Amino acid sequence: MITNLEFRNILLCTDYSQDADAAFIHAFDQAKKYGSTLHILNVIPTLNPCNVKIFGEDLSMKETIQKSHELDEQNRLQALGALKKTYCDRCEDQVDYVIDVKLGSPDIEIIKYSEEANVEMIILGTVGRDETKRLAYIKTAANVSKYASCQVITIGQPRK
Amino acid sequence: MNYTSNSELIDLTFKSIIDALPCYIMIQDQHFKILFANQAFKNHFGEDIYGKSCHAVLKGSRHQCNVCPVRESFKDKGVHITEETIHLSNIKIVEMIAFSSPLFDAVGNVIACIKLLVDVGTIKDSQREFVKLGQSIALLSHDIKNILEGLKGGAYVVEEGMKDHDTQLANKGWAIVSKNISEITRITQNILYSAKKQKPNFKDTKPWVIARQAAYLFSEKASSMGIQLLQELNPNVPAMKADPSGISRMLGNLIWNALQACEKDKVKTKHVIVVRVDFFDNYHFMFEVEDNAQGMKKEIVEKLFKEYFTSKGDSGNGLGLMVVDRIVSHHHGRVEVLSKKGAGSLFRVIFRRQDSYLEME
Repeated sequence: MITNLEFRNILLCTDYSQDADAAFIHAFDQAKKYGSTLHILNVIPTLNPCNVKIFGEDLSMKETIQKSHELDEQNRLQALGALKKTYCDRCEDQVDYVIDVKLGSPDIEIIKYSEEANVEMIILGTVGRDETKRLAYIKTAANVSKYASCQVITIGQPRK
Repeated sequence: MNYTSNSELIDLTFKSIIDALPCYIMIQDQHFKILFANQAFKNHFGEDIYGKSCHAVLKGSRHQCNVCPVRESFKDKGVHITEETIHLSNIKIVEMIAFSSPLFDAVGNVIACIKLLVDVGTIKDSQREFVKLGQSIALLSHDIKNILEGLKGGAYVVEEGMKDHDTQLANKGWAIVSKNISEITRITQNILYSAKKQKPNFKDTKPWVIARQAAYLFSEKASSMGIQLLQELNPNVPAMKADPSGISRMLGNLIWNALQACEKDKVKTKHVIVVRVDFFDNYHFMFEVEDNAQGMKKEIVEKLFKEYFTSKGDSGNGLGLMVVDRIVSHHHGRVEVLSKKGAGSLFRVIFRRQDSYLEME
């Protein structure tokens, strides 16, 4: 029998997908129930993870990387604004919450964040917004479940 | 040119020689302020250096260095030599040898010190290369010795089987011989790949086709080891400009590592390796090789891709991942690793899609 469950930090990973919305409701309830801090994380892809010339030959490699970083930071701030707009009102005065946006591969960044923030429970949608094009489109949820060192709950919506 | 005196010509000659010397020369007072510097020094650290302290100019530091040959020369009036890491103004960091020698006044007091800095970065790089070469030869020799012993053992079992007309025993021996032949073939191919300098032969290549071929090469091996080798290959991933033999070797090395990890894992009874090709995001696609063996600790994951690092102890030489890293960098890709002790490992290689070179102005 599992006793003394303590979830001081719960991590909700969102990409605004249908499943992520359902996951938020569950994460919110859990955070309220356990008096936990709810971490709301959105991972967005970096523009140029392979550091190649994506702006044509006019820019040097150094300039390309610099420009990619600048655009990444702009995107991150924009995503942070969207995250605040979507979730702050829903959490305010109800649970302690932290919001953050990370750049990179979703599974890697979610696991890294969970370790850094001492997260005891990760909640995320089963199917990500950009995953439907993939052959194995539940990859992020599957990888987080397999490789995270804490409890992971994935929430799926019934599909037609 | 018209010089008013012979001494003026001599001064000019000395100045030209000092400026032309392929090293940095400066003179410092007892507070380490720069009183003079040759042109080579000014070219790299800027013209505006007189009166500034040596540690500020060379290291960007407000504090004196722990080891300072100039300080020692002021103290004991002797010549001192140290090795220093210097920050050039173009953000480059170089390793240098610093010589310091005191300059005396008429009564023998040290009034300043001359410091000479020589770039030894190239020599140091060569030294490191030699150390690496030594390490690699030691590791490979050890590996080859193990394989030869395996071959000898296998051959002995085959001979005994033949002598006793015991086909079962002979087959057992032949399996050992066969395993060691494929190991030595693999090592030799990796050595050749890491040693050759020629450019990869890029051509339009379908990622899922290479992955299917690479997985096929190991299918028999996997089934003989009782390991399931699955393929999840998305045929919609568009063709890439790649060196097919390089990408095939990259996948081969990752699959080989996964097979060895599964073989080493005595905890689980069923092992599965999955080779994948799929979209990563809108602009990138990925190859993945995932196993359900015992995984690696975080500290080990961080050290992977360091030259000749192996997590396999005696049964690995670190060459495989080094070759993977080299192939990925030739193709401007990126490697990511997910691993958890007890759960398994996933190696992901991301490449930019050739059809995604957008003008993002």
